[in-house]
Amino acid sequence: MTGAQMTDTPEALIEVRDLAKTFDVSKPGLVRLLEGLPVQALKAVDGVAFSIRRGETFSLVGESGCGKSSVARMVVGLDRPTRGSVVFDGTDLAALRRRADIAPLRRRMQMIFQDPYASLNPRWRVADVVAEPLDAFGLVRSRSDRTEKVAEVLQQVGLSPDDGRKYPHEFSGGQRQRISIARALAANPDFVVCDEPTSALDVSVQAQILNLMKDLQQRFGLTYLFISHDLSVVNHVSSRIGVMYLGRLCEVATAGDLFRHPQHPYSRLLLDTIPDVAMAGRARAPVPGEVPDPIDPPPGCAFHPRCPFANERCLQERPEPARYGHSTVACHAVEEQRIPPFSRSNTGR
Amino acid sequence: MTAPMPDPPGTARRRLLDSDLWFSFSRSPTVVVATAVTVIMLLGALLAPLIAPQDPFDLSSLSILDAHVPPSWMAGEDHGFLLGSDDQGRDVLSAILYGSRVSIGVGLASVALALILGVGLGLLAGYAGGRLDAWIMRTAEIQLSFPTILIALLLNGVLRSALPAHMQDQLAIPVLILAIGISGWVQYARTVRGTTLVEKNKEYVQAARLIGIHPLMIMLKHILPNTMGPVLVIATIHLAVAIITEATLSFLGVGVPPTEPSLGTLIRIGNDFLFSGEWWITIFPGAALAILVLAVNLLGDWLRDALNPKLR
Repeated sequence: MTGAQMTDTPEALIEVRDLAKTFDVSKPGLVRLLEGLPVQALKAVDGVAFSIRRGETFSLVGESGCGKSSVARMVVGLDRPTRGSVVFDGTDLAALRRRADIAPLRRRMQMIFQDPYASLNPRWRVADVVAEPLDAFGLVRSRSDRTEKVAEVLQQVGLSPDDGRKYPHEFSGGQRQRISIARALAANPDFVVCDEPTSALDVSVQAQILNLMKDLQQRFGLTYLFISHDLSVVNHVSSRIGVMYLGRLCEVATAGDLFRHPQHPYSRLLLDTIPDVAMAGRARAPVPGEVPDPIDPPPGCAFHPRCPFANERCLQERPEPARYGHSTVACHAVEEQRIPPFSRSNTGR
Repeated sequence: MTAPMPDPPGTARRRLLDSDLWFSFSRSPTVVVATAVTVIMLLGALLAPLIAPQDPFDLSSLSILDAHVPPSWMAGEDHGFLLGSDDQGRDVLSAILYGSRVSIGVGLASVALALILGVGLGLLAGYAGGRLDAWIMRTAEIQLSFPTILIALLLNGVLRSALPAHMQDQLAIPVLILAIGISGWVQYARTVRGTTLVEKNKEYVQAARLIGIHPLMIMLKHILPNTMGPVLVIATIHLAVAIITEATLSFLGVGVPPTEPSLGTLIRIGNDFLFSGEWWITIFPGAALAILVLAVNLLGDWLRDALNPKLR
């Protein structure tokens, strides 16, 4: 999936091209030498390409271990890609080497993390946590300026300015996630990566946080890259969605298209697993098979062992993404029109 | 984090009295006694020039006629030496007070050195990982396979012989501190490295990396404060070990020079007279050393248990 077909948007803020990340998971050198084991590489991400327009929310969904978090980490620059590039507002991030060149871009991209219990330093007061980006980018001139700015950001996320005196352990999970959001917003970013921001929270709190994030997006014109495995959350927030499987994108579509007319068999399978009222109490058809070992992925289309429409070609040839209607799909069966139209619980099994 | 916000007045005391640490402290008589003993001995050492009956280093105040006098509370004449006097006519009590000054001073300084060295290297190894980590930790493991006292003895010997003769006595104490300090860094490094490995993958560190905070600053401001709990425990226990190591080296005659005797030196001097019945010259410094080390050790043990959430 190397094609630029998925990135043909003019006003893209973020453009990801042929992104790949390989981890070395071999045993330590001496052990490998003694036991005669080969070098093992895990392709966490293998040729992912997409673009995110200004002001939209682009979501990446997929099962655990499909590489969506790795993509997020590479996009913000926490990990260096093995291959490919991330272009932020016309600048290729990998081309920048000097700290001074990177700093202005760093201010414009921020991240909200998954675990609100690990994302705040337990020894720091909330005011200092929120002010860390302000100090780092030199955005405040004086102590009073700093206090004022921190109070403003805390209020924006629905906390009281007095909460700045407290330590993180005095807050609940949802409140901590608000603090995390406040830290991300302190430096007035354009682009925020949200790595499963609600998966550690109660359902009732999830909605509050998601609505807060939507409000903030509208107020400040933020662009989100949203990582989640929860399709109902994704449906709530996304403009466009990318479905990932084993380090590759299999379908990119608008939220409406994906939920009404999913094309890739894997997207259909995912949608079929969303709990709904009509299906309550009835036994569901189990999803056949498991995600294959990413160290040793199947040849051809990575999804073929679980795909009800797989044929000989899927076993040998890796499908490239191409446009079908409004969506971009990487699937031989879609290309050959071997798939019946989608209706719930009718995925061909 | 430039400056923390000030607390409302009075809360610091309240927080101390409410804390688990205070609760566990006030519930254990052993610890209260150990703390009291430690504080008394520290004060005694600190205030030695004010409270000691005699300055054992001032040769003009010593009289050889007063030599080998038994403790004043024993049968016989009272010469005014509460714990007796040694072969030079020195008051043993004064010698202990001044001696514990040297012992505790060397102990604290070598703990500080080991702590800075160990915490620094541990942080670096844990955060940097890879080659550097391997080099630092393999060095640590090699050092760990030798007895601490042997390493201190070796370092002390090598460093001393490297010095010109006239400086050997002058620099004896710094050399001793260096030797004991270097022989003790490994424990700190291993503990701090372990905590660093855990902390560096937490998301608050990622958040700091994301905004381009310098790795050194991340280590110092984010990770270091979160490793200090176990380090404090190790430092307390290590203080007892360092004092014992110093005493051992001095007892063997390679530690502090006889002109500035530590507890170990006093024990060695007294050892020569033990079989002639003048037991007080060696027993009292020995008892002082044992009590000091026991008290500090008990304190360290309690601190380790009190700060361990699994034992609460």
